[in-house]
Amino acid sequence: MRPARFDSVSAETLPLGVGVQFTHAALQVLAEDHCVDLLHIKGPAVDPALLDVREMDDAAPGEQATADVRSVPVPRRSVDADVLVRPSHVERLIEVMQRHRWTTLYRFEDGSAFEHATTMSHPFLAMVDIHRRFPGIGGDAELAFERLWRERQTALIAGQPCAVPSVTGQRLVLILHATRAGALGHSDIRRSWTDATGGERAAVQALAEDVGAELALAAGTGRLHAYRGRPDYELWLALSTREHAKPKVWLARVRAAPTKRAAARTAVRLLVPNPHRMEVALGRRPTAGELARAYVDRALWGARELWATVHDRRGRRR
Amino acid sequence: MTRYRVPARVAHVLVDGDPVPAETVYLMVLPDGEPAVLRDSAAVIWSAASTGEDDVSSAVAAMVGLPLAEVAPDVERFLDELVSLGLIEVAEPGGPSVTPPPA
Repeated sequence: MRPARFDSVSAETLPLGVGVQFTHAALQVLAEDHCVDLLHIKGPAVDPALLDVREMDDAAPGEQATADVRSVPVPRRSVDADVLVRPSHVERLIEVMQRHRWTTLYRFEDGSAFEHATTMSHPFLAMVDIHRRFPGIGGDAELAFERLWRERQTALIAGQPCAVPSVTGQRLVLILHATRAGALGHSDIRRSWTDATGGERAAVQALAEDVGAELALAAGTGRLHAYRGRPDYELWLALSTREHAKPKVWLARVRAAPTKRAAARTAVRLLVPNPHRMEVALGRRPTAGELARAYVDRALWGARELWATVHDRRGRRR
Repeated sequence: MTRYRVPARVAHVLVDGDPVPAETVYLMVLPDGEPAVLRDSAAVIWSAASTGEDDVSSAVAAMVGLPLAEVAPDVERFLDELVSLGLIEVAEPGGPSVTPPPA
């Protein structure tokens, strides 16, 4: 037997999948120590009942297949960790994380138009998206979190007991996530909804109605037409069908905004380049010239997209 | 005989194996410790100790198919090192194999 040895692992040699699990475990510990309510979602937090399965035969290579074929859950591959945090605890969590070598890569306002998550990075752990709300959940974020938190369960991630939503809550999260990505054929929707029993679907529907996610759920499960006329109908139609015309999505986002103020903010942030995102991409602060060029490029892009959309509409009318 | 267990604040990911003995074990003292990796015999020793074996040296000897006298000194030396690094701890007799998390 070779002498047993202990080796350190650098950020470069830590496998990503291991880093993601360690990230979940580290956040669970920080949350416990600082009374932060946090739910681990997606990736290694997903219940085995919602994972794809692979048929495994225990026969050795070269041997004839045995009758004992096992169904083994296939672990999900993630490039980062995702957690949903009680909105009123988000600020405290970020402050604690910053004391533990985490830095903010993208702020809430730098991310998607939903401004739902901030991305934090660490010298050797995987990146994490801290969600203060989940896209598709349209109700009050604090109440929605409380509903999910009340029915939480525990999953072992890297040997640590981590708080995760109930299986019903996980079904809803996975469906909303795939729907937002326009991946209506995704196995997450198949396993969480198509293959679900009537009772399981009813539980997901009831939860969606409680947290204001019934429209997004309907978009992911082929029932969106029932919500025609709702302000967020066009947005979820565009997202779930991967609408390519950016102005259409832009207009849908503006229309779906809950207030006039939010609509104005959405309209502006989608047209104006984001200096912080440019800084992350460049690795330094953009110069005044680079910013000016970005404004011009964005304006030209907007004009081109708008022209293409109008042209396309006229063509369809003829 | 000394029994061991995984400290509550040690994250661990076992790679390969089914799941014990693992061929590779990644460990991290939470929330800030530098990650470590144990491979081959080191992973076998940690795996055996983490499952609360009463006699880790005998379990390792059986796993690797070598005489107990040959492996025991190495196993005991390495267990001491793991304990000093906080990656495994001595379990109370009759106690759980993993430290219960704080209430």
